[in-house]
Amino acid sequence: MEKKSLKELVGAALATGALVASMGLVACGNSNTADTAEAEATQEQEATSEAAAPGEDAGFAEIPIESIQDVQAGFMNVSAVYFQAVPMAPGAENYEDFDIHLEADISALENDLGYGVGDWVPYLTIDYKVTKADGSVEAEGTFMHMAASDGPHYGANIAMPDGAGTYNVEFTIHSPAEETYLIHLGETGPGGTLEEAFKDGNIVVSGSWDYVPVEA
Amino acid sequence: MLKYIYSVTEDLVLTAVLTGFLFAYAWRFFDKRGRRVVSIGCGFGWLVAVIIAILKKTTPYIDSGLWNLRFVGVYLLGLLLFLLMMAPFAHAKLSDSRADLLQQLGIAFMLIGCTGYNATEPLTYPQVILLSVKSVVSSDYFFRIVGWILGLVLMFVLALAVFKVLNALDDQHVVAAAVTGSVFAGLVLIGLALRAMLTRRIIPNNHTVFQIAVFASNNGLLFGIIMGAIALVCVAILLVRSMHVQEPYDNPAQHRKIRAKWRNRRRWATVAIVCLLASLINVTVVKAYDSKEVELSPSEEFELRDDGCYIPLEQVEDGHLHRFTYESPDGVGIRFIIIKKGEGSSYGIGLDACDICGETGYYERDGQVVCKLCDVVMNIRTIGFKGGCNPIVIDYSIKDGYIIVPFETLLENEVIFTR
Repeated sequence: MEKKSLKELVGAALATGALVASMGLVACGNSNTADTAEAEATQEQEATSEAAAPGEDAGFAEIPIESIQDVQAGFMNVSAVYFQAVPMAPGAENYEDFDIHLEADISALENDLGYGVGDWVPYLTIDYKVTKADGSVEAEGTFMHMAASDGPHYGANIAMPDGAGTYNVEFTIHSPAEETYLIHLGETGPGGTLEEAFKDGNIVVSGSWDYVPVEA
Repeated sequence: MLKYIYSVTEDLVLTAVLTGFLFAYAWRFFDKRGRRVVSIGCGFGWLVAVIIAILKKTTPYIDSGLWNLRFVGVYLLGLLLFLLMMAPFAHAKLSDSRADLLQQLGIAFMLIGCTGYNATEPLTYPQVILLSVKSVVSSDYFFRIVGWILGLVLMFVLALAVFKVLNALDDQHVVAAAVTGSVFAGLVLIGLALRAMLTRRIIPNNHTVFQIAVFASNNGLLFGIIMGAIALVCVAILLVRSMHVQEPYDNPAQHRKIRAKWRNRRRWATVAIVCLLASLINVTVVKAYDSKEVELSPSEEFELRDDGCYIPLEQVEDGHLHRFTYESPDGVGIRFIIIKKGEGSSYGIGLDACDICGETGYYERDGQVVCKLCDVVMNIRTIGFKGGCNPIVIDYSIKDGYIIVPFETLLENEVIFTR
């Protein structure tokens, strides 16, 4: 009798485990299910939508802000992502009071300023402002320069006290000249100048943001 | 300390009450083996939560979003089994023992799923605190850990009290509480799973799903209160019943025993009320008190002379942060700070603002200078040097026992304080 009960227990546990495992695999789009058409479709969707999230390899997912993805801003390509607040060193190890880490990934497009195409653009000052539908400010400040497992970027831990909702996010990008970044002129220069690149003043990139918090 | 008491309460109140409900159900309707299955499920849930919490902070391989989706899957599977095995057709199709076993597994899965989802985060707090305070041998670490432990103890006692209260009620009350609690927790977890699926693009964003995810995200307090209210209804039923006890007895000894039993039940009901009230106060009053914005210390007096602001050295000798405000001719308050560096005669002097966070200001916390906006801790030795979140550098001189900050250097930065 005891033996039978144990058998039932193990059998049911295995059956349930298998079901749960399959749910888990579907949830993460694992390639183990690649032999089905559905799984292939899932994989394909993942490949297109998440290929640009190198942080995933390191156990976290960068969540893109859809309206600011690969936006061409002058000679720069701008993408906005966020994920859970993170500790940073030196000095910013305490991240208890923040909700998310907001990032501006900025890389160079074809340019005459000497930046390699696809390279991170250094020495930028980027102000961020997150506003609610009524125009009130949810968060604002200036990004710091930092590096994560996927390379250098501009970002900050921020608090979103009003939680999930639809916001507007705005990045104001200042010229690297403000940080005394110089461009060679004459025969050793790349041809362009920062004055020309920022002739209309700071570059503003903004978009709507359907924000939901992420699991820490 | 307070932060960790209310954070743990917020994270675990739903799990604690549900655990009480489900254990009461198991103790009422299952034999020894069934209770063991449920207990193992609960223990396994906590074990998984501990392992994931450790791995999450020590390795880069734990993706919380995916793990939480798995936990929700486990929970919903358990809920399905639990409810299905209650239906009459389940007992008609399966033997009683098999139906019971499946229901026991259902409860075990619910406990694993709910605990895994909700307990992982609070179990990372010791590591999060350590990152912040840098040493386990510090009063700061000690007090925060005490807060964390108090939160966990409160949740454990709450679960136990709910279990004891429900144990004293009728079968239908136990079933009603377990079903209501588990279905409600299931709905909450579905809402949170939608949130995780949205952020990971597992499902496409659309208005309805987004609104559900927003509701699930922003109403954690409401969900905890509803779960607590379900428990409170059980407590109320028990208290009302305890006022009209009519159990037959044959002799005074039996009567005393009955009275002692009900006294004990009333005590557990009181414990449950106290725990529920404490939880409510934690996540409302205590949280509001602890989260209130840091206020900058008031500006201090100093001498204004023709060429600048004169601050006597003895006024800033104590090694603490001192704040001063010079009002410009245009009426703009330009703040600057001074802190003596260690035992020497050098001073960290700068604006009460930085290039990154603007004029938010700095405050002193446990002997450290901290930026009010980004919470970055300044290295006091580097205050007065340019860069990062350091105070914006200003000119000054030290002469005849005074620190002298010229007006020009302050007026050059007036615009920072007008934004």
